[in-house]
Amino acid sequence: MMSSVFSKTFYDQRWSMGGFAVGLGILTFFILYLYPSVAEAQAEIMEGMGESIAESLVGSMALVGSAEAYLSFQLFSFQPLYLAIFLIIETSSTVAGEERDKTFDILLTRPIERWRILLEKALAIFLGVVIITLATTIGAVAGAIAADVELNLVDLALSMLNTLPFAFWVLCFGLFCSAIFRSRKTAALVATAVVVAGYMLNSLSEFVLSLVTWSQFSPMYYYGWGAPLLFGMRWDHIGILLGTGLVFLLLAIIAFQRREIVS
Amino acid sequence: MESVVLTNGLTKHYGKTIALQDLDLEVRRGEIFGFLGPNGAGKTTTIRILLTLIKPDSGTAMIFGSDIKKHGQRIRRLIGYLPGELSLYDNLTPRQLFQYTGSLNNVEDMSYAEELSERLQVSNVDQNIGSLSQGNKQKVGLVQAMLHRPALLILDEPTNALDPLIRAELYEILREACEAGMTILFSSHVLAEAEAICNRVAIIREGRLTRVGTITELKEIAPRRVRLTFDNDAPVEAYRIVPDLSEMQQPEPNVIEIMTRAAPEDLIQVMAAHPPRDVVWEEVSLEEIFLGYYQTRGTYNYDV
Repeated sequence: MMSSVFSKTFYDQRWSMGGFAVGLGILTFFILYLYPSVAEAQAEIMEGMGESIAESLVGSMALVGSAEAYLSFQLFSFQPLYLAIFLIIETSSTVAGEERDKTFDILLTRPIERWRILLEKALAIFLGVVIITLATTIGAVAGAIAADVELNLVDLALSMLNTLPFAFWVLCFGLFCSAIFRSRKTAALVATAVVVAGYMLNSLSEFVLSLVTWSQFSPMYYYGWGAPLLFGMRWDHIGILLGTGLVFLLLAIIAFQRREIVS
Repeated sequence: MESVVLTNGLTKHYGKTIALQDLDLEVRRGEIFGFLGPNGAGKTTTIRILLTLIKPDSGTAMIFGSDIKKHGQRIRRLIGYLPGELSLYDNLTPRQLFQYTGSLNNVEDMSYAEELSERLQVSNVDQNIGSLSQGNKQKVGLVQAMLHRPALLILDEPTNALDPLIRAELYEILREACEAGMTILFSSHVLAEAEAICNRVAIIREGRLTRVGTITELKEIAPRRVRLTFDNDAPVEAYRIVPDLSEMQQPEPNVIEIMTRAAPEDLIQVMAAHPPRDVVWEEVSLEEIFLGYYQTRGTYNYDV
C-alpha cells in the first residue's frame, strides 16, 4: 500500500536495493567461503618470504592469519564504497531527480511540509541501507558456516553496524547535494567526488605521512574500515560521523525549504 | 461574492526578466475562471506562486482568506492541481498513483476517483503510467487533481491530448463540480473552450493583467465586425465617419467590412443616408478579442 512519501520512496528503490543486497550478500558469502583456501595459500607465501618481509607488506602476521583480518580487508575496505554508490544514486534522485522529472508538481502541491518529505525520503533510503547491510551479514554468516570458519558473531555484527554511521553521513551529504544543485548529474557528481576523494585521501595517508592530518577531514577516517572486528568500536568517531551528518541534513532541509520549483 | 483567490501587486522577476508585474487578480467562489495568455505571459508563474512552488518578489496572495506565505500547508489541502507540463510517476500504475496522492490528501475513500476514472474512460488502471498514451496520462492527471474534491481546482491546459468526447465529458464534470461549490481556475490557450465553460476570463500579457470580465462584457467592449453589401459601388468615404472605426476593408467593389465599437444607432444613422442592400452583424469570438489584446501590428489593437 503506497500511503506515504516513505513507502513510495522505499518502493521506488526496491530494485536497486534488492540488487545491492543480493550482490553484496553473495559476495560476502564467497569471501568467507573461500577463506580457508586463501588463508592456506597466504600462509605458504609468507613462509617463503620470511616474517620480517611479510610484516612489512601486510602488517601483523597474527592478524592476516585471522578470518576477522581477512574479512576486514576483503569486505569492509570496499563495502562503504558500495553503500556510497547506492546512496548517491538514491539521494540524487530525491530532490534534483524529482525536479528534473517534474514530478514535484504533483508532490509539493499536497498538504505536506517539505521538511517532512525530505525526512521521510531519508528514512526510506536509510532503511534500504540497513537491509543491504543485513543481507551482507547473512552472507557472511552463511559463508562462515559453509566453510566451517570460526567467526565472532558479535564482532561481525558490530562491524556491520559500524558501516551505518558512515552510510548516514553519505546519505545526509547526498541529500544536501541534491537539495542545493538543480541538476541530478551535478548532485551525484559532487557527492561521488567527495566520497572518492575522501576514500583516496584516507587510503594514501597510510603510506604518506604528510597526509595523515588531512585525512581527518575524510569521513572514511572515522569509518575505520573493519575496526570493530579488530580493535572494538570507536564511539567518538561514530559521534563525529553522526554529528556532521546531522549538520548536512539540516542544511539540506533549509535548502529544500527555500528551493523554488520552476517549470 | 466571496473571493477564493485574491492577489495584490504580485510581482516576480527571473533575473532581469519580468515574469509578473503588479498582478491584481480575484477569483470568486463557485466560478470557472479562465486565465488566458500565450506562453511566457505569466500564467504559469501566477499559478506556481499560488501553489507555493515559487515565492513572489513582492505583493500578496490570499487563498480562502489565508496568506499563502504563512499558511501554505493549510491552503494546499484545499487545492487540486493539474500541471500544464504534466509529468506523473511513470513507474506507478494509475491505481497506485490515486492511492498515493489520495493518502497525501488524507482521502481513504477512492469512490470519487473510480467514478472520475470511469467517466473519463481511464483505461488500464493497473498498467504502468509510463506505458500509457498521452491522452490517458492526461486523464490520470485530471483524476489525481480532483479525487480529493478540492475547494479550488487549478487546471493548466486541461484538455491537452483529450479527444472531443472526453473533452465534453470533462466540461460536464467541471460544471457539476462548480454547482457543488468548487471554484476552478482554468488556464488555457484554447479560447473556444474558455468561451464554452468559463464564467469570467482574465487576459494576461507580459506579466500584466490587461482585462478581466465576463465573456459578454469582453464582447461588448470589443469592436463588432459589420459587412455591408450595396447594389452599386460601396460609398467608402461616407462610411469613414462611423464612430470608433478601427478597420475598414473593401473585399469587393460593392462590399465594405468594418470593425467598430460604435453603438448600433450611430451606425444606423450612417446607413440611413447610404442604405446598403444587406447588413451582417457578426459576433466577435473570444479568439478575436484575445488577438485584439495581443496584436501589435495587425488590423486592430485594443487600448489597454
